[in-house]
Amino acid sequence: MTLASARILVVGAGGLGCPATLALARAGARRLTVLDPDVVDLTNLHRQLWHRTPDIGRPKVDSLAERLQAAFPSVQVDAQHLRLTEETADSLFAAHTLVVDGTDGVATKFVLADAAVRTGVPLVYGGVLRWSGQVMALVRGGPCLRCLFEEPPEPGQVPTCAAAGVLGPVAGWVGGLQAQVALEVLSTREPRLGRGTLHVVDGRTLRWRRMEVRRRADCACARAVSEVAA
Amino acid sequence: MNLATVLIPSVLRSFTGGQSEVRVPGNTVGEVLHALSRNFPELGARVFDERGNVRRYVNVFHNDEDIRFLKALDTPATDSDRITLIPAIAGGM
Repeated sequence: MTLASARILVVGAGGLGCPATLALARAGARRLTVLDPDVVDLTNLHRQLWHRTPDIGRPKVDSLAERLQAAFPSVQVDAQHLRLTEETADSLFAAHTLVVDGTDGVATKFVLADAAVRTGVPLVYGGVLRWSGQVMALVRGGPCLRCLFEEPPEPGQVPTCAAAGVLGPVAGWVGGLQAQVALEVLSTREPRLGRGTLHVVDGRTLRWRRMEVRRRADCACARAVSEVAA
Repeated sequence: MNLATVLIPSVLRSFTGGQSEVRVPGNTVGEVLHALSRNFPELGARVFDERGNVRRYVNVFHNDEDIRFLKALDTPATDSDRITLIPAIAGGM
């Protein structure tokens, strides 16, 4: 599998999806699917680099695809103006080589992470809020998101970007890091940057930490793998 | 009593008056975190649930090691130790 032939699904055309798609296209990715149900809002423009003022009200995937293809004519962008759900997650994952998480909501991140475990398709998890960001590759045999966080918080307990805001450069930093980790996962069988490593970045202190994440023996991902093996 | 350093993630820093690091007394990770909660009750409510357990969407690392793979809240804490709180974060939009 070469980067040019890899089918990469980016879920979210916002603060993470925009810089991630730019970095992936620059690196040589040629087949991108971008999924997002939202339309462009004025408050998006400081960090969602593919969208411009005249795009306000347009589906984000349309403005992203239009500008990405103008910048990189050889990149095929499949723009899907819809929301990934528990019902559609597995089939979307199975149709792709790797998935990048650019969603805004913990519950959706767990939907993606669980689909990665079931399908074995690698996922590059990412989150960003205010000055903080997190990135981790979830690959077959490695720890999953539930190994790290045992369950998602109740709605409202953790603010979203839409509610709490995010510093534009931090979103660019985290989305670019997701692309870098994705490139490593696609290019080697033994990724060192991503697998089992949670990258935590802090834009306020410019501190970058790598935390080792281990598989929990009692995690659902361990049961899922054993069921597949059986 | 030892004084460990707790690293506060930026999403929780509003509860520590903007401090990114707080020196907190305690001989175990649990003692440190409970002392932290007494000093900053709003932060404590986001780390511990009503039963006093670490919330399942918050992770605690002791010098970059997940405390669940050490001795959990009984993990010894010393003056040179750094305890990091990692909450699940939602954003990406």
